[in-house]
Amino acid sequence: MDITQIFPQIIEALQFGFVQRAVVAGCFIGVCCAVLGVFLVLRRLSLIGEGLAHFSLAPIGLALMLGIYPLYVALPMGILASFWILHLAHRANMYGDAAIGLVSAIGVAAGVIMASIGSGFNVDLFGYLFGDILAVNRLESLMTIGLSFVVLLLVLLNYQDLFAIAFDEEYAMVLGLNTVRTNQILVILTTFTVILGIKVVGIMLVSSLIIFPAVTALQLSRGFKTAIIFAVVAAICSVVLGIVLAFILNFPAGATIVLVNFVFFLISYSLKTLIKV
Amino acid sequence: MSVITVQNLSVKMHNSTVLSDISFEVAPGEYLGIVGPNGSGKSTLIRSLLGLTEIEKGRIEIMGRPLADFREWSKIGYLPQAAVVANKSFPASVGEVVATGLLGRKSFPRRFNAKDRDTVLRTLETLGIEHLYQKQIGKLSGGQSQRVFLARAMVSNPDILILDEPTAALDPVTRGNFYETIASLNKDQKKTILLITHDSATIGSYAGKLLYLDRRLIFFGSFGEFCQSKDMSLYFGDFAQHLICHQH
Repeated sequence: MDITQIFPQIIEALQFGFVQRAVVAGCFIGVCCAVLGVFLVLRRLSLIGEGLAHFSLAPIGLALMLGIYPLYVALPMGILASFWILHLAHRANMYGDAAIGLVSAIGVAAGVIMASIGSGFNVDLFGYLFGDILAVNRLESLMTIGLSFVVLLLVLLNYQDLFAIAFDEEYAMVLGLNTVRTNQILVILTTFTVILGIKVVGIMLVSSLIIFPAVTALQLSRGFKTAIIFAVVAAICSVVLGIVLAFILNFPAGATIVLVNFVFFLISYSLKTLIKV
Repeated sequence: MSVITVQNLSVKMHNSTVLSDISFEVAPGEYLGIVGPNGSGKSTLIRSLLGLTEIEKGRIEIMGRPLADFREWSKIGYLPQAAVVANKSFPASVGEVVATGLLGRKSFPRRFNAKDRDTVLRTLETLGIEHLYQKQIGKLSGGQSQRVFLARAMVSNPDILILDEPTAALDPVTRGNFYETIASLNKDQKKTILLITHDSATIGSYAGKLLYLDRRLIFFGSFGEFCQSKDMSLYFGDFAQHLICHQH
């Protein structure tokens, strides 16, 4: 590969509408995942992203079988699943990870059965399993931008509550904060973000968009706001670099974004270790 | 009027009785030491007062209002048991953590302003830890953490301070200083104090009243009454009662 050709290749790639849509959708989803990820990782709830993504295999499978646009089914069913997880964890006295595992397994099992019944849509389902960011259409791109504004606005409005609960949920209750409502807001926003993120990196990898930028930022941040800013920067850089590398190297974009995220994490972890030494 | 009234309180957890038929009142400006052996229900009592534990029967009133209707939580400062930072790498400064104590008196959407920052700094100054303002919360020593969490409990200038075994992780010198700090808050600022401790002898030097708990109310009254009580003499034995009453 001629290295001098890379820059013109990047410029050329960015001329394409589908690449532009991929970068825009990827960055917006990445930002939402990064912001929510900091709260979820610190509350040890980051696997809720994985659970909801896996669960969404069932509604996506159902929608494909019925010929409905998958996100229309996956979004409401995802919200129901997230409330189910909260209910199991809080009311049924089940450990949070067990509740996530249970709901996730039901979704995967139902999705696999639907895939076996309607074998004709397996190719589409494959796209949702591993993501297809370069196939993001105009509607999905607009939905992603709209959702991102909603997520960021709600996080901004609830920032102090989310911070207080992340640090010490019981104390937040003593302060009279409505922790139940704030937790519901957090899981609803996570559900929307995860389900739209499936298009970017797929069901199998979407939780990495939540976990990687957050853990990368947490290696070096001493303040909460700094952690969120670092996570957002890491997310945007990994999405842009991932898409560009995928285009140049002809790799799958979703997987490349995740591996770029991993490299950022390694850099951040090494810097932390060096600073300590 | 009492600031806290507890009538016939019973609490069950996992089908076992943790507290049975507890009744007592706390007057404004009073310093109540809550003592009892491990598993006697001290923390459950406090958690019931804060609405964190479901009660089986009985009635709790805070500042004249039934617990379910009480909304002025910023008037209560709470220092939980083992107030240490579980996640040492949590990315928050002391200032950010102490400021959360102000959230109870803010309405949605909650925002902090320059005045709040001053309030946080003043509270830290009161406890002599203003230099920790920007320090990461997980990097503090046990004694520093305890003072920071006390600052969080005090920052909203509450009328009542509820402290659950605040000196458990402290060395003797820091423990002594801590008791002095709480005593001065009670004397100088007229704060009502409820303090749980295992240290029956030391608390007797500071608390105006003592509540001895062992799943049921064993004793409620002044330390002097405790030492004079024939019932307590029978309950603890003369020697143990003498030790508790004459160590301070």
